[in-house]
Amino acid sequence: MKKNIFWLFVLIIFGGQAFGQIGLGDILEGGQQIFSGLRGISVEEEGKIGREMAANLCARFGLYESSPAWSYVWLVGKSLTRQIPETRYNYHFAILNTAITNAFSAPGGYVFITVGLLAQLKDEAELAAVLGHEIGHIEKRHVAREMEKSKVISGTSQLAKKSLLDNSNRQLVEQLSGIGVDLLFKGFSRGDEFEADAVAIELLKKTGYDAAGLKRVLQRLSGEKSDSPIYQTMFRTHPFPQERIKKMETLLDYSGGVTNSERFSRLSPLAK
Amino acid sequence: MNRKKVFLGGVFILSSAIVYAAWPNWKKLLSSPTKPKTATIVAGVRGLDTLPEGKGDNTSRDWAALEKMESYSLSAEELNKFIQEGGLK
Repeated sequence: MKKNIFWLFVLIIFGGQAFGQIGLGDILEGGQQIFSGLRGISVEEEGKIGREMAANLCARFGLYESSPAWSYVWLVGKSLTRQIPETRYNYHFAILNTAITNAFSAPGGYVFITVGLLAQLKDEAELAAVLGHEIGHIEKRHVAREMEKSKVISGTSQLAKKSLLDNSNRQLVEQLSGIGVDLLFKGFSRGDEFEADAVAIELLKKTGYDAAGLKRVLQRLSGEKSDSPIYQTMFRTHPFPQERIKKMETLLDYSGGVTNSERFSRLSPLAK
Repeated sequence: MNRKKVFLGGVFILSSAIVYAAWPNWKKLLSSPTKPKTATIVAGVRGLDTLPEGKGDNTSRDWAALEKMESYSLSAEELNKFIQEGGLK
């Protein structure tokens, strides 16, 4: 009996070691990783990861290079970012050449809207609202924050040992960029979406746009059937439209602001 | 009888230990970027443009397009004119 128990313990200990998962060394290293992982990602590192993510989005969808449309999106985007003089990011705006209805942003200042979403908008305030929401994700560091969290969980503590700006860490940058892109397609948390909406509304008000632009976009697109391609693509990555509409009511004061719908119809070649 | 109980107990503890020890690896395997995604498989059937993830995977890069995006810029005068004409601040 005692002999059997002895061999059982031997099997458990060596069995665990054979899988390379149980061991004092691993446990200690894991603990160190959790603490060292809390260093955070610097603005420069964010830029490097964001650049990889943006290059990935360009490869996945391609750019819509029509000059008037791109100029228009760029001008609206820059009008908004002028209202954030303290920003740490250099913003770039572009249109992705895809019929899917969506908008994306990557850390460091990369903002994209798709041809599909642009075609669904009715005025300039709505375009500004969509871009403002994406700017909100960047300013609030939603992707970087998720990466910092996942780093702690998975223990990719190499980040703490070496700067991501070091070229020898390219593989880790690519790995983190993959996590970031997955996050874009999976969708942000409820809290992150609310926070990005709040930034968008604040920017709309400061720039002089109708602050209800974002609400209108959400109302219109969430009115689509839940199995429609628009609903499936837009709200899979930007979830909780009804809750967001309800939440943003408290931020809207309906104090005016322009929609510039005439300019939108004139300058956006995709306007219906 | 006792030996049988010890044996069965041992098998149970050992298999639990193995599952516990190997679990992190399974999780990694399941979330591996090399694992084919349903979307990638569907892509071949219904056309890439309809896919929310577009074509390619996390390793695809278009540096030329990105550089075009980074260098795209209009003058400050054009921006000011745009703001002024649009009744913006």
